[in-house]
Amino acid sequence: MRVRFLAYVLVPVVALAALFAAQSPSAEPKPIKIGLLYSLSGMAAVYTKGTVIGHQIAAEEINAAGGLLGGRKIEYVIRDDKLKPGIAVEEFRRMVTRDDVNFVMGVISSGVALAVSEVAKEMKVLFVDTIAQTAALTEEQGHDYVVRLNTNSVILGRTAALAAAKGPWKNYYFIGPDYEWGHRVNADFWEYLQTKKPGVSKMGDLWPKLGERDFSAHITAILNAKPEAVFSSLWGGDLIAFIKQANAYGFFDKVQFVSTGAGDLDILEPLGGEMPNGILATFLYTFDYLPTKKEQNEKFIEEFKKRAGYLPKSGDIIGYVATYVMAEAIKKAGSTDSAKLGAALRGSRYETLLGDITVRDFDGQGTFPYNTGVTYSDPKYPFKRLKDVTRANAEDVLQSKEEIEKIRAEYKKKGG
Amino acid sequence: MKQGERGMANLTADVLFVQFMNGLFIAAGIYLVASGLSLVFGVLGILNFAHGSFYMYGAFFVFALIGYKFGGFWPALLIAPAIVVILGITTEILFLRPIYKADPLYQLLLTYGLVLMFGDLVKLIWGADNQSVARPPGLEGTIPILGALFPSYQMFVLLPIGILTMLALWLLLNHTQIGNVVRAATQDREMVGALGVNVRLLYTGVFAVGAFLGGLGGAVLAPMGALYPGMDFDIIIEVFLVVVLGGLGSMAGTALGALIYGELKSLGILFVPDLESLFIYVLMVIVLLTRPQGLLGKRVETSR
Repeated sequence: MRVRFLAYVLVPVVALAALFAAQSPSAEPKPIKIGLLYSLSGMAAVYTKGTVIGHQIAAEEINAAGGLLGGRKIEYVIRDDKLKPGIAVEEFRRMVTRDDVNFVMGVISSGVALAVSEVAKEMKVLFVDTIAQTAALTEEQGHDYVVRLNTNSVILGRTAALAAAKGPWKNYYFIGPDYEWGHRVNADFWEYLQTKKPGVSKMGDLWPKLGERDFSAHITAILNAKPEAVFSSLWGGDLIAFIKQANAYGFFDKVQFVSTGAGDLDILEPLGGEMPNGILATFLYTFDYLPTKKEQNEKFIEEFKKRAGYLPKSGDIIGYVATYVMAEAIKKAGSTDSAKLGAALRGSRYETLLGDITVRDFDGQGTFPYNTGVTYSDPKYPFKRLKDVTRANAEDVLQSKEEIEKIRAEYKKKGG
Repeated sequence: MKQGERGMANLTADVLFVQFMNGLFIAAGIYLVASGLSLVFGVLGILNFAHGSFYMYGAFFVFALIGYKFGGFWPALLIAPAIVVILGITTEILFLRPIYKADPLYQLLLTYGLVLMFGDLVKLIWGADNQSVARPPGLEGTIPILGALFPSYQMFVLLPIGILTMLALWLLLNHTQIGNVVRAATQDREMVGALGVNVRLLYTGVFAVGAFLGGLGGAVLAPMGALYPGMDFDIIIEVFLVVVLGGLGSMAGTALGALIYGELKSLGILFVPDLESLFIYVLMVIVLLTRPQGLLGKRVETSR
């Protein structure tokens, strides 16, 4: 009996072992597993769908060209954080312990990013932030296992301030969505503007809630104060609604509108002819405004359009760019170990579709250039385009190493 | 606060007039949507979370009809709410009829489920991006009234439709035979059934009117904002606020709630720009503490 039982158990085990032994020499080298953590359901899915497509196109190109580290292919493990920090943290842990990912990229919400960054630090697994832009992530709450491959709120606010400082406007009114992001960008803009243009004054702030539908009272309150310029960090549907309603009050004839993100396609396209001319608008990426890498850009656009059905927007190309930067870093590190990879990433220069960037060694922030332009009608397009585009060098607007260290020291003192 | 003082310094009759009119615009928009929710609750006793979905579909149908070159904005403004009515009737027959006698908690859960379903359907059909409907030609600009400038669309479309809807509902409920039955049903549903009224038909009819009002609200408001999946969630909280403030099921209360909501929001920005939604929530707390049935609502008998 016992012998027969042993035979039943042993024979298949031995057979299986033999099979594996026979297979492993000829099998492909172990893939490089990258976790992608995005809000794939609910409201934010609007923005993340294209980002994931961007990641995928880059990986396929890299894999087709022979992979990395001697033929290892990139393989994604894609998870939904449902826009909730708790779920994001759980998924991050699971991707590391169960799915064996080498590092994790992603996250659209600033709140989620800060939570995930804490686990990354604790587990010593690299977290590469791609969309969330709160400066806190790389400033006061930065550490060795977090980097950002995108602009941050400081780059946005200060780039807009640089452009606004060149204009004649002195009296500003402010409007922004009433949460961390809006308050942060408006403060970054205002503090920097004061250093670049002496004598500017602030006439008031309005903080409509995120998802506000009716801005008529805000619009008339601003017009009543008679400012020369209005700075806005509204975005998405809020910005579209604001512009449409403000148009009906002749708002844009009376004040200069300075708006972060209004130059991105996700605002220009739906507004079409309703976007007024002459708005000072910032943007990260436009399909045809690229001083370098024209050929690769066109190839990306074509491939992206084929898969998504629309022109890539700023949030879409960032997935593509981030995967390429990580591929370069993996080559440089010669390893997928988080500590080595993080060290290799920092302080290096990368040529990306969004311009040449450095991942700063002391805070892990990517120095992505950010653009400002003025809206105008181009008969060739059904939506407004931007002219007089200037590109701000992120290295020039971001805080220095000393400033970052000061911010971190102050944060520590407060008990962070 | 400093800004508050500056805001006050500029307070003139002109400014107050402008903000008052803005308050009316806000009130008209929210009333269109809220009246349907209130009517349905009054008669059917169901707090329909999915009412925001009807608003969203009203807006998206306008967008789609214009996209298909279906005669531009005006025909779309008429057709879109009609399609929403069909959607509403289907919803009532398929999903609500089986649960009228169920616990109110189940009804809430069901209508919430409908919200998620309708939301995903919008994403499937129109995608998840922001969309925009242009204002009809001729109404893009402003119109001067007593020296102040107002948006033509709000002045000539939104406000008149809001007021006409209010009048039409009042006439329908107070001066027609159907209205008598509907009002009777808001008082005592079982009794109306016992008197031989076809309650099924009545419920379907009222739900259809409710859906129409939601769809009309979405269609009228479409040119003023962005269209996106989730716009239903963004409006439903304000709608609940207005309806609860005025008194659930009371049509006059909903109109009063909308007016208070619009004016407090509009004038509040003048006085305390930093805390614009403060007043309405403070008022809400006071009303709920002192008059839980709402300003014009009737006390609900809890003996069931």
